[in-house]
Amino acid sequence: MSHYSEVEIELRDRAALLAALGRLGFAGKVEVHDTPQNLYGYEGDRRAQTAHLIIRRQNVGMASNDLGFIRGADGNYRAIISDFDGRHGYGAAWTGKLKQAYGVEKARAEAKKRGYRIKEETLPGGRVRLTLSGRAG
Amino acid sequence: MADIILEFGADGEMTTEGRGFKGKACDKALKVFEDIGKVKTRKNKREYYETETATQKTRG
Repeated sequence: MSHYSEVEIELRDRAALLAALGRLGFAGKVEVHDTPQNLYGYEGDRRAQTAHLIIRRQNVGMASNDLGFIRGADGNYRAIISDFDGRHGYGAAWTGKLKQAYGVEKARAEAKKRGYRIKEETLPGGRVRLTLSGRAG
Repeated sequence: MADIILEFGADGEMTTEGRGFKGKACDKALKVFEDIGKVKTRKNKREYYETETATQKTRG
């Protein structure tokens, strides 16, 4: 082998982010907007925050607010999660899992484009390993 | 045969590893996957400094 590297995953690709949200149970539940739209709170109140990708509160939880992702000038998507939801299942552990799922989806897409054979395994402790073998053809 | 091993932690970190590459071919193969985020650390292995030509001579 020739090198190892450690990479901090960044959410940049919309398709991969949607696929990652699908892995976390939100397949078909994400609104996609070219222009950011307002988020709504648990009482139906319109919030000042806007997002390009929105999961409406009905799909999040009983007392939840909308979850959103807005794309910044640097091209990265940033999660917009209320304090309440951050304390109830959508905190750092959830965003870590989202980045993990995003990384897997983005890597699979790039590997597929380049003709690699892909093997996916879930390891003890929850890590996910992709083994990419010699390009097919 | 060269393989690429990618591991994704639940903390949003990824590790990449090239196996069976010689020289800088590994850099090219891994770059597209490293571009999924920001590279924090990188460590070259002994094989990184071998060239394909040198390896062929050794084997021949």
